[in-house]
Amino acid sequence: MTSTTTAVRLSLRSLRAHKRRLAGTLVSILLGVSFLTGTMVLGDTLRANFDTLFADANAGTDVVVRSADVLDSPGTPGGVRAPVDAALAERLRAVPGVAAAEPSVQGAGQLVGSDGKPVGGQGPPTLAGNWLADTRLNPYKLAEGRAPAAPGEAVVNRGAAKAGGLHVGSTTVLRTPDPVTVTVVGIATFGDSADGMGPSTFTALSPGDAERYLTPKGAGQASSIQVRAAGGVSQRELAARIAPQLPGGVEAVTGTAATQESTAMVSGRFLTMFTTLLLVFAGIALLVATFTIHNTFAIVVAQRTRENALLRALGAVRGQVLGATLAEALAVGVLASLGGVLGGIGVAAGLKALFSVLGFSLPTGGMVINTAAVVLPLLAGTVVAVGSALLPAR
Amino acid sequence: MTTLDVVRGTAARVADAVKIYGVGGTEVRALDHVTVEFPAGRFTAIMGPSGSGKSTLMHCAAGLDTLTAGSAYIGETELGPLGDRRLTLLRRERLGFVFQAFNLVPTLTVRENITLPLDLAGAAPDQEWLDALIDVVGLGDRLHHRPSELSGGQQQRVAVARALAGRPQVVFADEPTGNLDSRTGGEVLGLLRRAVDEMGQAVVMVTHDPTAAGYADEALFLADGRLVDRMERPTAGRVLDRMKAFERGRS
Repeated sequence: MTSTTTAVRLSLRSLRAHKRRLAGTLVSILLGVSFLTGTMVLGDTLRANFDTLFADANAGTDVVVRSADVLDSPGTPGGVRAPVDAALAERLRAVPGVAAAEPSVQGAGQLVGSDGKPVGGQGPPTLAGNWLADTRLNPYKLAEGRAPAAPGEAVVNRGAAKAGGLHVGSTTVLRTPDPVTVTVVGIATFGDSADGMGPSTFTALSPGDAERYLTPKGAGQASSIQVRAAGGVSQRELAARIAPQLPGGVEAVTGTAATQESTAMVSGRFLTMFTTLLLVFAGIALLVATFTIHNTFAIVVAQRTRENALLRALGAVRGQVLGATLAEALAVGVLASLGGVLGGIGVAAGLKALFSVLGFSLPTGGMVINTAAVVLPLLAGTVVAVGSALLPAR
Repeated sequence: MTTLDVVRGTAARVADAVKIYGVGGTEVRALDHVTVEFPAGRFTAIMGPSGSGKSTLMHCAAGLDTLTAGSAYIGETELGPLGDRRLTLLRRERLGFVFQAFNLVPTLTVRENITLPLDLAGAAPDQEWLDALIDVVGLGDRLHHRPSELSGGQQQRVAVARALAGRPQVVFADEPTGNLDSRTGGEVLGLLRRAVDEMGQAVVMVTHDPTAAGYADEALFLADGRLVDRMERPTAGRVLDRMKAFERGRS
């Protein structure tokens, strides 16, 4: 039996002798750490799920040909690019190694729901474009119905359809912002299963309609040309082959790079705000827990005054008396923080399910638990417990 | 048990000890130039009415409190120059304590309380000695009980066993029977007496109870922070008479 284990034994006995007090402290640390872990895990999970979703949805696009000029535009992350000539697609199909090339038109178009109100309100982006015929180039997949072929036909993403009460066969208005009457002929998912690209809405028109309503000139223009490589040709190689064919001011970037840009845009736009909000809540929870824990340990130390005086008289040096209190705090802190981390992973799963129920269309996918999301809350809980014990014990 | 050779020398002493509490107008002189020796192998009782400075004398002699002036020694070690840490180590290695109340750590068992000073020092207890002690204090069947499961007398016997466990140079007892009835108090005092007679232990006991002083080899009388009298082989009756005489003299 060494002197250190005596201090540890004293603290463990004290823990066992005051079970109710212990339970209160454990619960407060556990809750604070749970919130912190939950927020971090949820953020990591959503970010990873979005990454996977975008990567999967855009997996078929190997090269994106677009204007190199970016105009900063308030309200549009990533800025606005000048259009490119839609006819460029025809020329690119002749480049060796190109399996498919299609002009892609992207613009804004707010759907009106069956109740006459705009779908998605003023919040998330309301996107519109042309339906890409090549299923591998198109990040959207038809879940119901067919692709738009004739003027006035449209495919909407499943999230927008659900929110707006639209079905195959519904007739509604798309504000581009000029009102265009469209008939829904198909419902699409983003990637294989997501209701949409985050909470945004997407309406796909026939190529002719898209150019007419969504480009400034009304014909012959596209936002970009999406290119798919033939087997055995790498993205980088294809981009290099395409580049010499392009007019000035137009660039070819690999699909991977373009996906990363759009993922970062979505992550930056939605997730940062989302996780910041959650982190604020976690911070408040931990702060409240800190006060509770600090208070509890202040009481513990006060109750121990007589016991500590006896120990000191019997020959316990200051370090041993302090050590007993710290060992108690450390045991409580580590134990509760471990529980909190486990609870936090549950909280993250629960929150994700809750947000889905509340109508946020979040991508599906497994939970992602990074080291930081485990280590940081674990440290925070333990440090708070030990710090709270140390202050009154001094 | 055979009579041990009388251990020669001084277990503890204070020389010209002065202890002043407070400053200026509120100054209280708890010890006023007291010089006293506590011989090894002897049972010394410090008597006096409350406020006479008897507890202060014990606390200063045992390194629980510091003197304002003068010096205190345990054996040949002067306490004054020692820092907090060395005083603490000296207490746990060379002194034993029995207090009036709250002697035991409530969360530890009887056995753990007895070995607590040894455990704090990281020292291995002498098992044979421990068994003998436990036998003498008569708590063999209570070793795994908590203090709250014991009577007041049993708790004080545990405290005595703890004080003796490390074979200290001196055992300091501060009103060890203050909270006990006369029969259980007598058992505790009998234990201290046996420690002196059979183990050659030096014991210094603060008490205001003439019966308790009757167990000692010598009684010292304190009044107003001064050593006013001493009595060899005191008996309860003689101590009581002496105390009454002081009371008359004071009033």
